[in-house]
Amino acid sequence: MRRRSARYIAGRVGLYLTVSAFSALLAFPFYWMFLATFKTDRDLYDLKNNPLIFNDHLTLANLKLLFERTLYTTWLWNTFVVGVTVVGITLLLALPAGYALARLAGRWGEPLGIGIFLTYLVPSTLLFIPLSRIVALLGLQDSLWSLVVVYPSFTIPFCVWLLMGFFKSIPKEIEEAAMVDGCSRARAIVQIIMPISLAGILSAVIFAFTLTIQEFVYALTFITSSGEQTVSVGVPTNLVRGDVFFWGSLMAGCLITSIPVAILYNLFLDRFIAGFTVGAIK
Amino acid sequence: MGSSQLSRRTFLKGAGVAATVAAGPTVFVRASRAQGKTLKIAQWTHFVPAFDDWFDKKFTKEWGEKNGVHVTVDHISVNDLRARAAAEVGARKGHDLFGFLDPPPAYEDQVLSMNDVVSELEKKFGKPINLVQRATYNPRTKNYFALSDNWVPDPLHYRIDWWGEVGVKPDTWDHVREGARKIKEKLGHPAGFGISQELDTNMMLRGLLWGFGAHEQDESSTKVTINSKGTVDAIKLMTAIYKESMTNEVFTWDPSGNNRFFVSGKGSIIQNAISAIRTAEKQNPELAKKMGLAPPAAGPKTRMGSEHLLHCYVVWKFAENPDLAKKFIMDLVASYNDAFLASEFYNFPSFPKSVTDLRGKLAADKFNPQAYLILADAEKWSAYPGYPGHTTAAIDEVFNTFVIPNMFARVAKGEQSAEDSAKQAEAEMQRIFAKWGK
Amino acid sequence: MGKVEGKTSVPGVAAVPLGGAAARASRRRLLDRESFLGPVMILPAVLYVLALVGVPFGLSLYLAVSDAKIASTGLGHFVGLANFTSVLRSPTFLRALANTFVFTLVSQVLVLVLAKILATCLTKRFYGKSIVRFLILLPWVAPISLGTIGWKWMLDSLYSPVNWVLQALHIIPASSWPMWFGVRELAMASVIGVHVWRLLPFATVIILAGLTSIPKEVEEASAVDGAGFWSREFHIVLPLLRPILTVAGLFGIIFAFTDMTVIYVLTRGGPADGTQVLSSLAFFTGILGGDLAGGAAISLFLFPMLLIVAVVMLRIARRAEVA
Repeated sequence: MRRRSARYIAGRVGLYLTVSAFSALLAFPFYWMFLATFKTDRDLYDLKNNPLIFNDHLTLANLKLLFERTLYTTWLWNTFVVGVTVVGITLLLALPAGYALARLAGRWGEPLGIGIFLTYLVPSTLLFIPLSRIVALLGLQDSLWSLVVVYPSFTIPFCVWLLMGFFKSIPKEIEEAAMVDGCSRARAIVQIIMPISLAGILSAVIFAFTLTIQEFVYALTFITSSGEQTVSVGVPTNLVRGDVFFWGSLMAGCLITSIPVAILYNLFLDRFIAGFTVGAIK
Repeated sequence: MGSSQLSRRTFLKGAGVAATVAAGPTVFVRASRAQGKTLKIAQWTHFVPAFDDWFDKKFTKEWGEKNGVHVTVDHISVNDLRARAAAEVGARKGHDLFGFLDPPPAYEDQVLSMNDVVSELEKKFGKPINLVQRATYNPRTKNYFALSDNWVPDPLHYRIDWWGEVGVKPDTWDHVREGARKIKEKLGHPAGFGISQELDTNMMLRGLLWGFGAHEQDESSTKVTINSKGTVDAIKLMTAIYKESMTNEVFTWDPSGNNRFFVSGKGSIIQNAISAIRTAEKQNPELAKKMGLAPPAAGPKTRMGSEHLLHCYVVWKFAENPDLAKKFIMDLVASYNDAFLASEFYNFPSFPKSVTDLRGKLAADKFNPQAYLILADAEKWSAYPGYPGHTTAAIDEVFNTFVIPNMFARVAKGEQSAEDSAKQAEAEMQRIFAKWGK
Repeated sequence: MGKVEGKTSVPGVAAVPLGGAAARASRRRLLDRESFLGPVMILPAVLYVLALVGVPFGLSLYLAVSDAKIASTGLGHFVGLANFTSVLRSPTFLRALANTFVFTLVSQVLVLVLAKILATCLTKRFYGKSIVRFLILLPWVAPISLGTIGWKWMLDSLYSPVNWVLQALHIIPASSWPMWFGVRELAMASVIGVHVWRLLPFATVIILAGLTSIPKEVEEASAVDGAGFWSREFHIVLPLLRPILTVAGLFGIIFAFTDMTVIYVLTRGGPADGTQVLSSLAFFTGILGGDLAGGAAISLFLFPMLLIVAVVMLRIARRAEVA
């Protein structure tokens, strides 16, 4: 151990340097957003100032504008509602499909799985026009529910594909043993497969939720009432006025949305990767 | 962070605030809809927040009460208006009134003719100004496809102190070049004419072309005439200004770029709507006092600038309350005295007589009456994309694919000669005209 | 006994197609009894996606060979490949085509290489790991429309804190002030950089998942054999990771091809079409310019190629099975 220590230390230093560099590069914009949130306009727009520190007193004006003069809290709530509902619908449809593709579909499983995946090749910048007609026919225009209906169209394919892979990695013997004991397949799925698939389900949830909060084009084109908008559209629509940006409030809107989700993911990511490792060793 | 709970609680509070917020009232509409008709309006998020306050909370509210109609206003960001319009047309469902910021000739098949509204308004307020007529009227179908209530002039903004120091007035493009160069040499401050893929550049460069007697198309709106000596000269002049007194940053801008550039105190001159100087008045009043406005610079042939924005309402054929919508526009035009003031002179009346004593109002500005007074004649030196023809769908596509800005950029960047670049722009425009010609 | 099965879940190790087929055949009888269960479980998802993607997509395909404009009352007329021949005559289109390849390939290679490095680091133990993980997850959860607006300021021609930092660290001389969106190469570097920033966390998580599923014994065995770090990386780890790298890469390519948020917010295709890509050009032409058919032709131009790439890559990744 001692003899290796020089190399060991070099490796550790390299490791810390690398992760620090990555963290700095990836998180730097959020540090800047934090600054912009509390900076006064005078501070922000003075070319002579050091942009990385506060040069003036801190201000709550940007947050006030965001919370009191826009419907930011409503947008947060809407985003949350859409995210949760879409994840629910997605799981409801993708779980059985993923399982069936892995276990029941035989040689059709693979091509069908690929086919589902291919739906991502169609850009939403094109799809939104015919889709808006469908949304209107359903009477959902200008309502949050239009997004709830449309978003699963891009979360389902991915989650089906992901879950299919996950179910395949679970040894068939597990449910076969249960079925030999007289358990029906449906019961085997619910009582045995689902509990040990939590890690996979969790990753599907995370991915679906992310896609949902990132989406912009549909949210923009299907909804115009401020009260029905999500964060990704509401914030820029109301804080980019013509050729004037309200930087402080814009950045506050981004920061406040991101941090709780990142914390949440960080918690789940632990379970997600732990579940993974267990699955691989067993 | 318990964001759901938090936001739900504040949501309730937020709902109370909503009434005071732009577009907020829509939250409550659903409940009251049963009582009567609802007029739905979509338009941009106005650069002057106070204008949206006036429009959403005062004008539309009072109008609604008087007419027994519930009015909702949804605001859409400038960049997203067209995408939303495309979605409404795709859905065959949407707002009763949709406000574009530039004329939308491509939508003519989907909108009601505004001929009746125009003739009604003409009785009260006289003819709309020429550029509005040319930009919203299709001579082939004899149709006003949109009704413009306001337009926005695009004057030069310049630093009175520096231009005074070098003793040059930015009244012609040659003087602009000379003054910009001297200021750059003497004081180190660059000029800021954008050569980028964005709206401000599109407008400013068209004005420059007209000054040199160059045009995108002929008066019949069928023939591409961009490849001319005037165009080549205009490109050469802008390239010279770029080389002498500008930096790479003019290629980087979006519509907000030149505002920041000028308001920060870095730039000596830009061409923009008055949002730049208005922002300075709020952010840095000391600096704003040193800023002046001027009409567009004159070229060898004429003095001309483009409108910066042309706000026009359309009523979709599938609108639910077309008559109400048209009545609303007429009453809005009739209230333009208030609108003009609420917009801080940003919105100029399309029907000039709908604002009384425009000059007097400009002269009464709190901050800088001298600067704003030059806008009194704005109509005389303003044209529109497609001038001297009409604004057609083909011109609209040329505009939105940035053919003109890129024609200038290629030469300024030294990638092509002015002649070749004009030729390439001509080919591109002919290709686009061919698509729409059928 | 679970060990053999466990290995099927390991990317790339599943070189047992024969055994798999045999097992499948033996289960055929079981399947017969439940032949209705499969379709019942699959159909809802397939129908949902077909209704909301399939139908509109069919319409988009038709648009590309029609003369439909944004506000056409009908569907327009069939014009064959006229839209395609028209765009091929446009220098802007050709430039956008080239840019699309540069943008997609460069950003993808960067994402995969950086994600692999970062994921390898994250398999190690170190202090502050959970903070690091929190920080690197941030770009992924930020609404992209807002995150990109943040970058717009950070690369601004006047205020760029990025330039300020580069100067302070003496990476660039104090006299220079790069105009990120003003020079073709820098603009391309910027949009690629922001795109990498945005996709890196996602790719890292996928690769991390792949790395953790490689049994410790495999690596340990090779370490005992005296293989050095690099030789282990290239001969053991990377081959095992290949399927999962393929999946991550495929996702990245699709994102880069179909999503224009970064370019639309940062450069709108400028300077002088230097960062114009097919998705942004399609938007400018079809939605803003009103030539819907032309826009559809531009955005579907590479669809056939993309289709082939996707199928090939998925075949390679056949047994990646992320989980």
